[in-house]
Amino acid sequence: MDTIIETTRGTVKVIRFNKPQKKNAIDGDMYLRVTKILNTAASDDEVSMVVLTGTGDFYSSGNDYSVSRPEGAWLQILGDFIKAFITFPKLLIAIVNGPAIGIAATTLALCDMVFASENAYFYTPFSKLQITAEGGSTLTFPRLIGQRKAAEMLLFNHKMTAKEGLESGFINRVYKPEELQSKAWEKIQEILKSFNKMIPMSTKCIRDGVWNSDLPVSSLVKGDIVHIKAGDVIPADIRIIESKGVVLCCGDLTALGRVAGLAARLQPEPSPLAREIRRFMRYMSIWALSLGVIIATASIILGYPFIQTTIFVIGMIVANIPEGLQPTITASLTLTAQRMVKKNCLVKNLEAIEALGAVTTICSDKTGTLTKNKMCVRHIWIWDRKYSVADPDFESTLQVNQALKAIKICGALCSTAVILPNGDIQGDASETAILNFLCAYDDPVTASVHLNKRLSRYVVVIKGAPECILSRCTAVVMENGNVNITNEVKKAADNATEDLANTGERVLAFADLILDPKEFPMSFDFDTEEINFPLEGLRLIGIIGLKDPPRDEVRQAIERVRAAGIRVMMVTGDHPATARAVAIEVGIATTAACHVITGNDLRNMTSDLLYLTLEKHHEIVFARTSPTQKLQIVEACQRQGSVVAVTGDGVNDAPALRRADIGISMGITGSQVSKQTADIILMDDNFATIVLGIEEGRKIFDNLKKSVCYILISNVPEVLPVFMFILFSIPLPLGVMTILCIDLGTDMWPAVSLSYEKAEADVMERPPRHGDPLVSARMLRLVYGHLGLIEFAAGMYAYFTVMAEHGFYPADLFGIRERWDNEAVNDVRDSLGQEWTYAERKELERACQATYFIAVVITQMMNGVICKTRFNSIRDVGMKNHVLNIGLLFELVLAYGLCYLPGINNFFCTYPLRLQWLFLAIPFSALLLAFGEFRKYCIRKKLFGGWYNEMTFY
Amino acid sequence: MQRNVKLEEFEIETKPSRSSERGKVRNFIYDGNTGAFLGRTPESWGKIIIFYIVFYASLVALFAICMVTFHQQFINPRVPRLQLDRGLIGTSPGLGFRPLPPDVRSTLIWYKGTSYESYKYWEDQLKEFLSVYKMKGQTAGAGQNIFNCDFRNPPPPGKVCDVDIRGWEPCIEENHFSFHKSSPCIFLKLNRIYGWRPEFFNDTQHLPQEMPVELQMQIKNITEYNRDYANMVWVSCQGETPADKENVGVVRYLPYPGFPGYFYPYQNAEGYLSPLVAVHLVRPKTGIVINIECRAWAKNIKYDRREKLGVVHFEVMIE
Repeated sequence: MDTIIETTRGTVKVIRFNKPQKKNAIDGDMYLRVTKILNTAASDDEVSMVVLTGTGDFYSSGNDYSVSRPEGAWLQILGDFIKAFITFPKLLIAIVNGPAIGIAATTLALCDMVFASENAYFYTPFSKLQITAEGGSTLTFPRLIGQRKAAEMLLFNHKMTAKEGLESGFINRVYKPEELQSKAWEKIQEILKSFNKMIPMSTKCIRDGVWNSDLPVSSLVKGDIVHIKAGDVIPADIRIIESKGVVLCCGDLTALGRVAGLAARLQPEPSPLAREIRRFMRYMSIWALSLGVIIATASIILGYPFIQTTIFVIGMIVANIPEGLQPTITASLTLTAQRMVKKNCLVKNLEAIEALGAVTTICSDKTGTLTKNKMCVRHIWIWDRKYSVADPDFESTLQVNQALKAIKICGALCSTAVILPNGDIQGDASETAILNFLCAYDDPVTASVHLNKRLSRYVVVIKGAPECILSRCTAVVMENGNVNITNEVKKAADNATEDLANTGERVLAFADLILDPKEFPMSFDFDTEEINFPLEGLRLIGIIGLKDPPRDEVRQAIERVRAAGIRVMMVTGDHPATARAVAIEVGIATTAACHVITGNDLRNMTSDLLYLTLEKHHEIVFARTSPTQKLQIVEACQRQGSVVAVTGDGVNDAPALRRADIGISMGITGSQVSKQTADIILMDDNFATIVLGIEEGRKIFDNLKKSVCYILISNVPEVLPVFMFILFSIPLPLGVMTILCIDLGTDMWPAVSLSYEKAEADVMERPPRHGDPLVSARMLRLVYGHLGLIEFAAGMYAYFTVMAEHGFYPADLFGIRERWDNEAVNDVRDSLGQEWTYAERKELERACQATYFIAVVITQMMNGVICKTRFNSIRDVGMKNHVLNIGLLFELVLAYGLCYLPGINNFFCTYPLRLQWLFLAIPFSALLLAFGEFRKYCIRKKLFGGWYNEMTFY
Repeated sequence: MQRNVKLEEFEIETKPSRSSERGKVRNFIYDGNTGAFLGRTPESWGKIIIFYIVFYASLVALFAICMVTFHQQFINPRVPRLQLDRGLIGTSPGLGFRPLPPDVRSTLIWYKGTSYESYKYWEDQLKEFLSVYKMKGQTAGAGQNIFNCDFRNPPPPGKVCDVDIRGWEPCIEENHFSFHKSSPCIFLKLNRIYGWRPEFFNDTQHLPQEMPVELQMQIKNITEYNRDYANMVWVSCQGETPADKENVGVVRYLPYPGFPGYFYPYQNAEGYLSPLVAVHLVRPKTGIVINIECRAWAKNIKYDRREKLGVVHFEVMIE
């Protein structure tokens, strides 16, 4: 029986350990076979990856000790085996169908991907066998699973289960045993598909005098001579010699590589949200701790035992720390990120999405983001007027125009671009655009006629910068024949050129000359190096204006962004005129006189001057800038206190992306480095997507505010009872356990679900939050001065009611604490002369605290409704947030559960309440709603001279 | 800082004034330019104060309305709304003792039999506790409510039964509650629960098994004399351990070994006094701590030693 089965599936080589009777233990012969297969596959172009798996329910139990080993060569065999794994250049995938032990487990660490079944485990008992750890595992394991875990595996014979392996990163996926093969192969097919997209860039080069037509770019070395032509990506830093280039530097040593390195060294600022949370948490902690200290002091002075004091302090701190904040933040960010992915915006750094909401300045590059990154023919000038291609009448008006025909011939012939069999056009951007244009307005049949004509006589066609072409022309094509060029014609042509150039178009003039067949017979040998044919006395055909047109949605998007008070600046490497024209077209600049700063200007500016310029001019276009200057601009903006978003796609944008508060890269055109550096990737390269991001970001911050407000409100009825207890000596109205129930139980879900709220009406109409903290004085005033007190009143009302129903009337409660809490006093007299034992009193206290707790819960439910909106009326918004609705219901059910479930209520010191005690907080809930709506109404209408806005609009 | 208005228009770029920290604080407390005090102008302060007065007034008003409504609807100043089992006080009154030790957490009655200074504290405690019993004639409205009750003659509504302090003899103030003779008197009382009626162990033939034999004997003795006397909440005190039982010696209960039934139910009548039982430890062993446990006996008094239901514990040590 064959112990190694080698099969091929498409381009995938499959190696199967097939010795199920011995749990696929590997013997010498098997080692040699696998080594050989791997080494052959490594150089076999037909193989794209190798898959390892085993027969039966074991992957492999490692070394087969039962078979005698070939003496001497043994170590060599093992070494070669491991080496084959390490040096294998292609994808190596293991489908682990069962336990992998010893060397089988260590080679898994050398595979690129590992899929395992649920019953697999990984076991490397080297120390038990008293042998050295095999297969480089001392190196690979720590890298994969960390030093500690690796030590556990390699030194302490820890048996790692598949689940654990997945968690620690040892393997990629875990599947059910019966699904393993099908699911793993599904994945492999996926990988194979993506291979087609990842065709490695190759280049043509001469190395050691040998011509390599298809060398991967990554294997270029210094000294190679590469051939490049128009449209190629330059594979390395090269020095051009004639049309070839000698490689000087490659990889990280290239200019681009150094820029990428610069990005890695820059430390990004912490996100505005992180800063905000840190600040808030610091203040909150100080507040909670100082309250704790006050309570502790008071408690000690009142003679409470240490344990009781500790419980008070813990209660105080727990009451004040907003525990719900972190889950809320995570929930909002994750939710938004998911939503953004659907809108073609991949959020890599979750906090960036919120930062986008705080953005005050966007530095956008031009090509690809604002524009389509595709040259198009926009205008054609044919004697004696300009035609716009976008004009719907364009085709019909020029149908019979001689000049258009001529320009088509000229454009098609005078081009090095080629049309590939699949219809794509490869070549210089301008020529591609021209060919594209011709394809759209011409049909291939006429093109062949031109070729026939050309057979009878030679035509010189020429295109180039208008000033060069014009000087060589003596005639111009008009609608009905040629006319000699006069000054008047020349001037008209010059005007047209200037006109087009000013709108940011790239201008090309076309001319031709029909050569006399007698002078240049068919056999004439043309030489372009030493020109042996006339290039004077040409016939001017026309001028074409090319342009990279702005994306359709961009203008509207920029309008919205500007309405949201965000400044948009363009930073581009393009010509100032082009940049300015695009800026005007997309709305970055509103007047033609917008401030354009070129890279040269920037170089001569001191940082103070740049600062002042940024202050003075709102609309700025940076043109002809270098990557480092982009960084400089970002830093200048940040010095002004702006929160800066930067878009960029090139490697050279990486430093600026890193430095910016939000780096945005492009999914289609973006380079790998820029994507790695960026916080957000726009999968459709579309600027308009940023607007969505800003809206979402602002919404997150708004919703966070709502959550924080909601969480903080319940602090008031949690803290004040302790003060009542200390100052007025009444029995404690709310216990520590019940505080925990509120903070960690009932408040949690509604607080988190507030992040599901929709954006408010004004979200994109107000300026970016600048110095607007998460928790403002206004919010604190509202929380501690208004809403919280209403809840406290509700709680106290509930407390006094229960006390009174049992015979302790409010007036008699004040000052009762000392006897009440004294375990030795078994006859505390109530207002009706009844005498209460300690146990009875404590039970009553629990009932009161539970009623207080329910009152807080019921008012908090109403608060959830109030906190839904900051500005709009709840009537307009409605209760459409079902997560919140369910959350409020859950809050109530949980509270009742805490009170009524036997055992649970004992643990949490609550009490099964009488029915009517559940409704005591209703009037206060109504007051909360009335006050909340009244306040929001005043805020909307700016009543009382904007009093409420100033006081409580957080 | 006065500003020159004419100059102002030429000041394109004014440097931020570098005021010192102290200056800032001073400016915050009182800003001469705006007249602001603590960061607000008087007008602003006025507004804010009015606003908060209105807000808090309405909050307090709502609170008051709720409280008053509730009280008027549901609360009777003389009758608890939730009585007995409907409320949390339950139907099993707790037993208490006097005098209470000065340390609230302790239940040890400790004194030197020979030293007046030493037992003065306990005597004072009892004097204070019993003063209402002594001065009942003088307390407002109490005198005329007193009704001479006995077992056949329970008080009519609104009247209260008299507690005869003479019945405690020799546990009376004039006798220093017998503390000076190293045979102290401890007073037991049953907690008042509105409307609570005891269910007496009045069938002398079927007294509970766990009832101390001495008490059973006493009950039989008393009821032999008058059957009505069976309607009492019986009381028994004994040492907790066999050693304590020995040390405690003879215990006398004055006037009866129980609380007479005609004191119940308690209905918050003006001048009501809880019946007391004086427990006279006639000759307890001195120089040793004696753990004493007293228990009240009625069919509806629950007993749980660990939960301290229906039972009271104290220690006595006489040097």
